[in-house]
Amino acid sequence: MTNNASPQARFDLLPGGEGEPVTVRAVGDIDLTNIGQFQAALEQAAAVCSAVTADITAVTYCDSAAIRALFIAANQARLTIQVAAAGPITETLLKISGLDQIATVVTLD
Amino acid sequence: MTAERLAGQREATLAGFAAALAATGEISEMLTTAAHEIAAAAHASQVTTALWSSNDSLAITGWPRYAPGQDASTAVMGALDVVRHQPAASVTVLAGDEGASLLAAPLDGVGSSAIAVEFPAGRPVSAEIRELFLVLTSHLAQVLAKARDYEQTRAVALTLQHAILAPMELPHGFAARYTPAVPPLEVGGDWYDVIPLPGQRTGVVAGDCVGRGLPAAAIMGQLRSASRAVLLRAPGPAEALTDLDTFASRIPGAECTSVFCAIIDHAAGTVTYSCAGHPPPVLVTAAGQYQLLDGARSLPLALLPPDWHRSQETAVLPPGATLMLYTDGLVERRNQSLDKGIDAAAVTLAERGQDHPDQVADHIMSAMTPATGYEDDVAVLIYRHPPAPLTVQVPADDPTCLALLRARLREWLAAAGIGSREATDIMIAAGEAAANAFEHATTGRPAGAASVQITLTARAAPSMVQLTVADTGSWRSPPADREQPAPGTRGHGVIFMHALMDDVTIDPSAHGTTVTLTKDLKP
Repeated sequence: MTNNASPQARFDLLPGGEGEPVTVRAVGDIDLTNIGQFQAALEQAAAVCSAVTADITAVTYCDSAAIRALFIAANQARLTIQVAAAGPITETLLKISGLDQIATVVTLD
Repeated sequence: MTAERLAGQREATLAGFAAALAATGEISEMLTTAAHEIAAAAHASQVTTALWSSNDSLAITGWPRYAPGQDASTAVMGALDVVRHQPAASVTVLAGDEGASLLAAPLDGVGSSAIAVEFPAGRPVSAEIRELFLVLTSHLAQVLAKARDYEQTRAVALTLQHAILAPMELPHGFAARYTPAVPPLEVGGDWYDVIPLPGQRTGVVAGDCVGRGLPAAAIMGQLRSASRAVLLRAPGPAEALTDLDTFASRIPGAECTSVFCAIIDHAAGTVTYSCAGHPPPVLVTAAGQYQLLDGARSLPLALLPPDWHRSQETAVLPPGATLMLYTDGLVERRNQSLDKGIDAAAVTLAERGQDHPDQVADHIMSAMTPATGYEDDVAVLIYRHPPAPLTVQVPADDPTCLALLRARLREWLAAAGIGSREATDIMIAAGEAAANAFEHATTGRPAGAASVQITLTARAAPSMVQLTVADTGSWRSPPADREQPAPGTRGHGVIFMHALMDDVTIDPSAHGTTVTLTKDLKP
C-alpha cells in the first residue's frame, strides 16, 4: 500500500499589487509533517504586508494545527481566509474556533 | 399622409412586432423584445415593462435595458402603478420628468403587468402614436396571456411528473439514475424505488411498463405507488408481486409490466427477491466477482395462470458487495442479444466494485450509452452493502504515516458509500485523534520501552460509521477544555471532533488511549 492518494502539499507566496494583500496559497494535505511550512509562509507574508490572504480553497486535508497557524497569522496581520464550501475547513469550523472574529472569512463555491 | 397609408404602416409594424415576439421563449425575454420593438417603432427614449408576481414582488425589464438592481424613474414607476389596474386595451397619457410625455397601458387588466413608454422632452404624443401603442400593447397582452398559461401548465406537469417518480433523496448506500426516452417528458414507463421497511430492512424495486411516453408513465405512477404499499404489508417479495398481480389486472394497460422486487436484510446481510419477467440484477463482490440474481423467475404482471405461484430466493450480500437493479433500456441493443448486454453491464459494474455508489452509477450510465444515445427509458439503482471493517496499524514515531492512515481511510469511506461532506468531516475528526496520538504517544516513555503503535479502525452499519483511534502510549489532554476554547491552541482538536461527529469518547488508560468517534448517517 502506498500513500500516493495523499496529494503533495505546496505553499505559494503570491505578492499583491499596490495596496493589495499578499496571498499565501496552500495546496494539498496539511498535517504534522508540513504544518511548519504553512506557518512559515504565513509569517513571511505578514512580515512584508499588513494584509494577508490565506487561500486554503485547494487544501484537501487539514486539522486544528492549521487553525492554530491561522490564529498566529491573524495576530500579525489583517487576515482574510478563503475557504471552499466543499473543503475540509468550513465556515462552520472557523466559527467554532472563533477565528471568524479576528479574521475575514470568504467561502467560495 | 392619408388614413389608409397610416393604417397600412401600422399593420406592417404590427406584423414585424408579432414576428419578433413569436421568436422569443420565456416571458422576461418576450418583454425585453417587446420593449425594444416598441422603442424603435415609436421613437421612444425609454420603454419599461413591469411584472408583479403573486406575492406582489416586482420585476422590471426595459429598453434600453436596466442594469441589475437599477430602478425605473419615479415618474415611470408612478405611471405603471396608475395603469396597472385599469381595464385592458386602455392607454393613458401622463406627464413625465422635465417636460417629457409618458404613455402607459396595462397588459392584462388583472394588475399583474403593465408597460410605459417615455418620449423625449418637447415631443407631444400624437394621435397616431397613441393608436400604434394601443395596437402593439393589445397584441403583446394576448401573447403574454398565452405564455403565462403555458408556463403554468408546464409547472403543473413537472410537479406531477416528479411526484410519480421515486424520491431523489435516497437512504445512505444507494444511488440511482433515471433517463426517460421521450423528451420533453421527465418520466417514462420505467421506475425504481427504495422503500425503508421495519426491522433494518429495505425494499428495492425496478419495473418497466409496456409502451413509452405519457401513457406508460401514467401506468407506471400507479404501479410504483402500489408496489410501495404492498411491500409495507407483504411478508416477502413473492407475496408482494402476487398482490401487485391482482392490482395490475384491474388497471388497463398494466398487464405485462416487468418487475424485480427484493428485500434487503441489512442485519443478516441477505437479499431476498422475486422476479416478474424482468432482466436479472447484478451482484458484485468487493473483490470484483459477479453473479446474476436470476432465480425465482416468473411471468410479468397479471399474466399468471390461476394455479401458478410466484417463488422467491435469497442471496448472500458479502461485505462491500454492490447490487445493481436496472431496466432493459440499459442493456438492450439492436442486433445484439440481451444476454450480451447484461454481461457487459455486469463486467462494467465488477470493475467499479470499490468506488462510491454515486460514481458507480455515473460510470455505468456513461459506459453503457450506445453511440447514438439511449433509445428507451433507463433506470439504474445501485446499493452498496457496508464493507468489512478497516484496521490499519502504524508506528507512532513516524508522522509521515499519517498520510498512509488518511489514504486508507479515504478509500474505505468511498467503498462504504459515505457522502463526500460526511467523509471529509470523518477524515478531520479521525485525523485530529491520530495527530494527538502521534504528538503525545511517545512522550515520557522510558528509553528502551517497546515502540508505540497507533491503530485506526472503522466499521460501517446501515445508519452510522464508527471509528476508533487507539495508541499504546499515554493520552495528554489538550490544553483547552471544550466549553472554554482558548483561541490558537491544539484544544480545538477535541472541539472539532465534537463538532464534526455525533459522539466522541476518549478513554485514557495506563496502557494507552482509545478515542471512539461515531457519525450518524442520514436515514
